[in-house]
Amino acid sequence: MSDQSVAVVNQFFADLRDALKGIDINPYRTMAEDIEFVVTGQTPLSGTWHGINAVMNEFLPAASPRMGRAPGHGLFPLEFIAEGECVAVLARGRGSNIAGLPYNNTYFLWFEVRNGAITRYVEDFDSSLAWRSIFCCHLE
Amino acid sequence: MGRAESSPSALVREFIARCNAGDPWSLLSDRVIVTVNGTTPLSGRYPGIPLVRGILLDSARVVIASLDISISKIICAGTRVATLICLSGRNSAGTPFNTEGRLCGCVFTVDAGLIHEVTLFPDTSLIEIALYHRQYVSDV
Repeated sequence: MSDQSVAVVNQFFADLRDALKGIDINPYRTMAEDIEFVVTGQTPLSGTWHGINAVMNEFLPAASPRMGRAPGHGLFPLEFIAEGECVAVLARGRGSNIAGLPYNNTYFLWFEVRNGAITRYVEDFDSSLAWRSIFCCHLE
Repeated sequence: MGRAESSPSALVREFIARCNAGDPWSLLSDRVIVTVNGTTPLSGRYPGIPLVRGILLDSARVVIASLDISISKIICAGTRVATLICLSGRNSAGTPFNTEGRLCGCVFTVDAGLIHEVTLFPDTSLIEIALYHRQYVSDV
């Protein structure tokens, strides 16, 4: 079961890489219709979305305009820890904000996979860095 | 003294229980490396119990009056254990934090009945806001 779960998660990363290269692919096609999609932190993009429609129609339109696009950007998995239908991934991101300033975060990603689709996704990262890089804020 | 009879997951569960009780030290290797992800005042890499106690724990005690840790999910692959945990409690002013019960990731390396590595991915913006009373202000 864990091998199948890891395969689905690997497909998610492959799709994400292809989408960032400009290939016409939906990087969220491995997510189930009823996915629980969680972005941790206290940022304007933090929250929980229920269902792929909410991810595609609410989260992505809010997130995409804030991210830069450049060759080499992506989410790069470093380690997979899998048991049964659950997969934890340690990953590094390389990206930029809309002004092109670097945004390279460190991630703990949690996936739950059922019937070949991701039913739960938790994106845990340094949200304080996101505030400063993506939302152009500083701490006072 | 190690606890070789415990599975890695059971050892991590016991470690969390002992953290809540205030005495987890006998389950940690002397050379444990604790890493707190991110860019907060508590973030960093703390190799060895003296640095964990002397810098991380003492610094955390300045801003955290009480802390409760609970495990939502736990998986294990070999010596690696990944968890989704909830960190909540009260700050130094007595104000509760993370009353919503939001989750974060924590990864462990367990070998020969001892924990050799702990990597925590806390909600870093919550640390800044709730523990250090800081706020994110627009740069423009």
